[in-house]
Amino acid sequence: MTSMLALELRGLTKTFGGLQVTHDVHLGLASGARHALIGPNGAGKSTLVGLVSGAIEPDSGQVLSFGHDLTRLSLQDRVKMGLVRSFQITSLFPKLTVLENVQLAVNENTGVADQLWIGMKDLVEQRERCLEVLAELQIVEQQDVPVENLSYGKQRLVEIAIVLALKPRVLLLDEPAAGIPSTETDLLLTALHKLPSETAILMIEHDMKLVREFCTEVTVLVSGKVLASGQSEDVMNSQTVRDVYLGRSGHERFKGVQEHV
Amino acid sequence: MDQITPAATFILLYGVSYGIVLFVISIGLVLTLGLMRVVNLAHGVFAVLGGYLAFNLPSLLGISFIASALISMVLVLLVSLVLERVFFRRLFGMTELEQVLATIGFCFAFIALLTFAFGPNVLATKYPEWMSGNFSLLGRQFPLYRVFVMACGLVILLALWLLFDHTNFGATLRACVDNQSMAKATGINVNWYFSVAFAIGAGLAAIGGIVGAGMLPLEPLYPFKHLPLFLTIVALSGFGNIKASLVVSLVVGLVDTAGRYFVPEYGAFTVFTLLVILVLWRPQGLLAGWK
Amino acid sequence: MKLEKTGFLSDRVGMIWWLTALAAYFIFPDYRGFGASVLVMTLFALSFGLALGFAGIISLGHAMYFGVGAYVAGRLALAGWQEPISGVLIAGFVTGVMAIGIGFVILRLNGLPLLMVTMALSVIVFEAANKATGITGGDDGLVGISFKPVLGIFNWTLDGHLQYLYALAWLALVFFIARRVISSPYGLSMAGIRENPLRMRLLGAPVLRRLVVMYSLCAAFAGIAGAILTQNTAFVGLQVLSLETSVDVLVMVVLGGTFSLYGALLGAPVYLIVKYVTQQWNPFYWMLVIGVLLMGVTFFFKGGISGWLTRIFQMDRTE
Repeated sequence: MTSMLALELRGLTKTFGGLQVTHDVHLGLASGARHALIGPNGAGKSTLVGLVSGAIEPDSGQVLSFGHDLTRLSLQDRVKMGLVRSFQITSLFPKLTVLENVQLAVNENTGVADQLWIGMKDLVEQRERCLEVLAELQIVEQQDVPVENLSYGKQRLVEIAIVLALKPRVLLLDEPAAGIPSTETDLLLTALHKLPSETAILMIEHDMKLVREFCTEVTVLVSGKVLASGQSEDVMNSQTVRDVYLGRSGHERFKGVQEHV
Repeated sequence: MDQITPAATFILLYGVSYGIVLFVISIGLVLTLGLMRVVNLAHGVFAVLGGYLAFNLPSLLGISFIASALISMVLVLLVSLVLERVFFRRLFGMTELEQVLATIGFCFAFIALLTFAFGPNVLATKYPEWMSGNFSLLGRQFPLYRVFVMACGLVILLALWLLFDHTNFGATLRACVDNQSMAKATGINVNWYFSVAFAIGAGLAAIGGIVGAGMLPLEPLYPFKHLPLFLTIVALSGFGNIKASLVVSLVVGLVDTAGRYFVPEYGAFTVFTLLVILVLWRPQGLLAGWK
Repeated sequence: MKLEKTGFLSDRVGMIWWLTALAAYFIFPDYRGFGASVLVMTLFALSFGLALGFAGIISLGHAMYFGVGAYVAGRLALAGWQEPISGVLIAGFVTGVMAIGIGFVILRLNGLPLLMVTMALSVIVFEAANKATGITGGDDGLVGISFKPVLGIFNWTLDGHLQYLYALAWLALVFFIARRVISSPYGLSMAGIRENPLRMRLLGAPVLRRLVVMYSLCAAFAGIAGAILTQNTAFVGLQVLSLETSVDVLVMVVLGGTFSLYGALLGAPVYLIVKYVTQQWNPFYWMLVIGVLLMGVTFFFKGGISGWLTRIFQMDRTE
C-alpha cells in the first residue's frame, strides 16, 4: 500500500437542501489504477465527480492527490495539479476544428496558452504534439473538421484526445461510453488502452462490458454511500452487491462476458 | 429640525410618485423578460405612444382627458398585440445579442416615425385643471399632480394584486413564469398567456407614459433616452419578479430624487452609481436568474 | 463565430479594402476630412469588434474608452505635450490600464447584466465629464488644441491631407496587431473561452484573466482611436463619450459582421456613409434606415456584410 496515493478521498460528505447526496465516502487510487465507480442512477456518482473535480465544495472531507490537499483548490488549479475530468455529455468547442480543440489542451498543458506571440519553431512543435494525440486515436484525417460536424462517436474520441493531451496524473472519466451503441465501444476501448499506464483512472460507467474489460478495481456507490470496494472479481461476486445493485441479469452479464474471455 | 420634515416630505412625495411611474412602465418589461425570456429594449415605445395619443386626442375628438387616457391605453394595448404577433414573438429563440439589436432597431425606427408624426421637440403637455395646482402641507406648496400620480399608482397596485393573487388568470400566469415547461405539460396555452401579459405590460406602460409625462417629458427620443433607467430597474428586479420591481422602482425613485435634492450637481448619476455599487457588492444577485 | 480563419475573405477582400482605402485618398480629395473621420471610427469599430465577436463581450459602454482616449490626447496637447505619436500611445496606455481595473470586476458577468453595467458605467463617465468642465470643457469641449508635425515632417493642415493617411496608417498597424493576436495561442484560447468557458476552466485556463487582457487591449485600441480623432480635428466634445456613440459602434460591427475582423472595416464605412447621406435629407430619416437595417441584419442577414460575402464566395468549411 503506497503512502502516496494518486487520488485519495477522505470522508467526503455533501448535502443539497435536505438531501444527503454523499455520505462519508472514502476511496483510494494508486498510480496506474483502473478503477470503476458503479451504482444505480441517483446514487450520487455525478456529485462525487463534481466534488473531486472541484465543481462542488464538500460539506466535509478531503480530496488529496499525491499527498497534496486539493479540497480548497479551484477547478483550474486542480487541472494544473494533474487532475482532469472528461464529460458524460460531450463538451467540446463546437465551431473549432478537431485540431484546434486538441491544440487548446496542448497549449494549456505546455504553458504557451498565454502567449500573444509564438515563434515558428514552437508552433511546429505544438502542432506535432497535437497530431501525435490525434494519431493515437486515429482521427488525424478529420483534423480540419469543425467538431460540430462530426458524428457523436467521433466527438467522444475528440473528448478523449483533449483529456490525453493534458497528460493527467489522475483522470476522471464520466461515462465515456454514454450515447455510443455497444457495437462501437471497441474503438473507444482501444482509445482508452492508449492512456498512459501511470495515470490513475476513475471511470464511472453503466456499461458492464467496458468495466470488465478495462477496470481491475470497482467501487459500488448506492445512495451516496460506498457499498463495496476492491478488486473487480471480489466485488462483482459479492452477494450484497448482487442483491442490491446488479440483480441476477447484471451479474450474469458480468460473468457471461468473463466466460467468453 | 424645521428643515428636515419639509425636505423629507418633498423627497417622499416626489420620490414615491416618480418610483410609481417607473414601476408602472417597467412592469411590462419585467414580465416579458420573465415569461418570454426576451430582452425588449424597445419597451419605452408603448409608454411614449400612450402619452402622445392621450395628449392629442382631446383636441382631435373633443373628449375629456380621462376618456382620452383610457382610449389611448386601449389603443396601445391593441397595437402591442399586433406587434407581438408580427415582431416580438420572433425574438423568442434568438441570442441575447440578437434580441438587443433587433429591439434597438425597432426602437430607432419607431423614434423616426414619431418624429415624422409629431416633430422632434418635447411635447408640451397640459394636464386638466383639477389635477394641476398646488396644495399646502407643512408650510410648503406641493403639486396636486404628484398626489394624483400616487393615487393612480395605488389603484393600479390594487388591481394588479387582485389580478395576480386572486384570479385564476393571475395564478396561471404566475405558473407560466415560474415553470414554463411544467405549465405547458399541464396543457396551459402558454403562448396565449404571453400575448396577454405582453399586452397588459404595454397598456400599463401607456398609462405610465401618460401619467408620468410631467416627470418624463414626451418626445420622440423618449424610448432611447430613458432606456438605461428602465433597464436598470429590470436588471435589479430579476426575472419576472414584479414585487421586486416595485421595491426597486421605489428605491430608484427615492434615490434619484434625494440625490437631486441634496447634490443637485450630481443628481443625474446617483441611480447609475447605485447600480454599479449593487453589482460590485452582489454580482451573484444579478446573476441569479440569468444564465 | 470564427474570426480570420476563412483565408479567402482575409486575403482577397482584404486587399481590395486596403487598396480602395488608399485609392479613395486620391480619387476623392474633397472628402479627405470626412474620410479621415470614417477611418477613425473604423479603428474604433475594430476595437469593439474584437471584444464582441472574438471575446464575446457584449458591451454598451465602449465609447467610454474612446472618449477618455480623446480627452487624454486633448489635455496632453493643452499641457504642452504636442508630439502626436507618443500622445496616441499614452492615451492608449491610459485606457488600457483603466480597463484592467474595470474588467476584473465586470467581466465576471455576462449577457444582460454585463450590458447593463457597461451602459451604466458609460453614463456615469459621461455625466462626470459633463460636470467636470474644468477638465473637459463641458458642453463647449476642448478647443485651442494643436499638435507638432508627425515624425517632425508632416504638417497638420485644414484640408484633411495628413489626417487621412495618419488615420489609415494607425488603422493598418492596429489591424496587423489584432491579426497577430488572433492567430496566437492566446487568440486560440480566447476562441475557446467564447465557445465553452467551463471547458476552458477544466483545461486549466484562467478565464477571467484572459478576458481582462483582451478587454484591456480592446480598450487601448479604442483609446488610440479617440486620440487620433482629437489630433485630426483639434477638438474634443462630449459626444465622444455618449451612449449614442457606443450604440453607433455596436451597429457598425453588427452590420459588418462579427464573423471577421474585416466586419468592422466593412460595417463602419457603410454605416457612416449611409448616415451622412440620409442625414442630408432629414436628421431623423437615418434613424429609420438604421433601425430597419438592424432588424434586417438580425432576421435575415446573420453575420452581416462579411458573413454575406463569405457565403457568396462559398467559403463555408464543410467536410
